[in-house]
Amino acid sequence: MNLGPDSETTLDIGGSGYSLQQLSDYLDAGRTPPITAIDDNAECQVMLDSLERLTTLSTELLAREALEASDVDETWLSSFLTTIGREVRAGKDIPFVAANPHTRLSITEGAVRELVRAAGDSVDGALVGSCSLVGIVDDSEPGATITVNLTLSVVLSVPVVTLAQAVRDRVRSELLKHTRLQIGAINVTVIDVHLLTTVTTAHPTGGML
Amino acid sequence: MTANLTELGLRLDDVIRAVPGVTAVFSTPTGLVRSVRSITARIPLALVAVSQTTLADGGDRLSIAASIGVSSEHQAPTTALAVSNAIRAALPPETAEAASVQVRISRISN
Repeated sequence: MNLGPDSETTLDIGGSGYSLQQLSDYLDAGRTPPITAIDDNAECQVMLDSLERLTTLSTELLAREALEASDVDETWLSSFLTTIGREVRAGKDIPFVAANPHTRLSITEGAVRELVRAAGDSVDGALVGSCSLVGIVDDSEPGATITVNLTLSVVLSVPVVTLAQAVRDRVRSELLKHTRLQIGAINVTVIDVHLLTTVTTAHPTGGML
Repeated sequence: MTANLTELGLRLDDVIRAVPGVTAVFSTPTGLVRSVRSITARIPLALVAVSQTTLADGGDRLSIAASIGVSSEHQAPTTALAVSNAIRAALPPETAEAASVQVRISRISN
């Protein structure tokens, strides 16, 4: 994936010494030769997961758009990457309850955002743009209530309302499984709609296929 | 003592990797500094951070910090607890109970 040399793509990811552009190159090279500073860095791995998913989904989308001769361009892709680059940062620690007073168990805000993003992306036709978790504070009590705000890019194969509800359900289910947070509202805003049209070819006899 | 702590850290890396549901052990936030030190001194690098502090009563306390990736197949809080239990079980008995153990989930992967 070719990224432009703007300030976001040259920022260091997770203190690894590698930028988003370099991570993209690493992914393109099949993660070989292995780079320990990337492979041992949680934020880099979360970023690579997102890049990999985005590549798959956007390639499919771009192929469809190319057929329809519309203009999904690099700006669109760059805006996604910029957002993801910002959101992979570990952020605050969200604690789990631990019975032993000398034990502290937690999940990072960045890991939760990536969980939400992956859940949304797993719904056919949906691509999560931004993801924010409102209500998380440092050392918040286990069981704190949060609100999730998502933006989506969608391929309109089913009604938007149906697709948004599917994303909400998937996100809620994953959050309940992997965190001890109380999930309040999951607000979904659709910011891009890509229409699916059937490509038709004129048949020699005059009919349409 | 530093060598012992490094050795313990390396052993804990392996202990954590063996816990069901753990997909990765990541370097802790001090990782970059430690990486530079590891490269220049050519010493093995533990991903788990191990340190020892002397308490006011003269006793010592071990502090362990681990950053891990977990599988989405298992509930993340359950895996975190299993990791903390595995760490404590791998510590020398005389230090295990008072040790401070921190487990941080940094990634959940499919």
